[in-house]
Amino acid sequence: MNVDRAIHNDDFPYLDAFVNSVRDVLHTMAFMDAEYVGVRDARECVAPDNVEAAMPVSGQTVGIIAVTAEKNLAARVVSRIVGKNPEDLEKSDVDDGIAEVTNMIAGAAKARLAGTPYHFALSSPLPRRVRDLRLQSNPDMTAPALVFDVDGQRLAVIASLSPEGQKRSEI
Amino acid sequence: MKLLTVDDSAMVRKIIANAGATMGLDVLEAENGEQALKVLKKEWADISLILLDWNMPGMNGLDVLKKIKANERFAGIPVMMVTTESERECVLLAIQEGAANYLSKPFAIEDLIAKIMKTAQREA
Repeated sequence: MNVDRAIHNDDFPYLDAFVNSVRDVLHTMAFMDAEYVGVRDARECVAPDNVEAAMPVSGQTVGIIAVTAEKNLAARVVSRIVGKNPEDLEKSDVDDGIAEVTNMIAGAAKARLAGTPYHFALSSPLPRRVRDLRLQSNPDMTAPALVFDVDGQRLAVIASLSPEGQKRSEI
Repeated sequence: MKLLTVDDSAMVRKIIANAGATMGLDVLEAENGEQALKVLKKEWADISLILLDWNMPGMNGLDVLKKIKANERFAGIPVMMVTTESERECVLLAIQEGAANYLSKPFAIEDLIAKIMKTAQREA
């Protein structure tokens, strides 16, 4: 996961809600500390071997929330949550687990964004490839990905939100 | 005592099944509202508590809650919502529709166990 190319937090005023939600979810459910590395272009954070899940959101703000994590890290996160060894997990367990982690991050961020233009309605998250998504973001900007270091491996949360009426761009 | 967990996430059902096992409970699982109602039709007399997610494909948790509370056989079984919908208005809405308790995801296992015990005892 390449994190060399930075984009600006100020362009996406809702990102702090996601940073805090990622830390909260990983600490509470998996007893893991997520160190925030920075915000990057989402296109730099996807990799063919990553485990990924995405949730479309709707309401006054529309868009996509997605998680992409290195395979070993995804397995370790899920194993910590369910109390099993990573080797004992099936691929479907890890896919489902990362989808639920996506759900929890989105739910926690939604609560933090209550009363702002970026408040949204949740849907069901699904394991899917981030590169196949149409990501919503501000005009002429890329979709932002929040990159975290968790036990020396990378996990990114793509939060591409547009209040209704704004133009959309694609990843 | 049997507990029914209704959640589209296998991981959450597993967490709840593990917690139930540590408490000596039998845990039944359903991955959506339709399946939950089928399980209830067969097992309602033995089920002491239902843990219900809100956002699921098909029927959402609030609609499942309404159906449970509208059925005279199931209505007395306490329902605890276990959901990422943590805003005050969601909690109030669920309580208004008959939920006995509410647990927001993410949760600590200790909180899950404490709320299961409290909800089951309160309704016993």
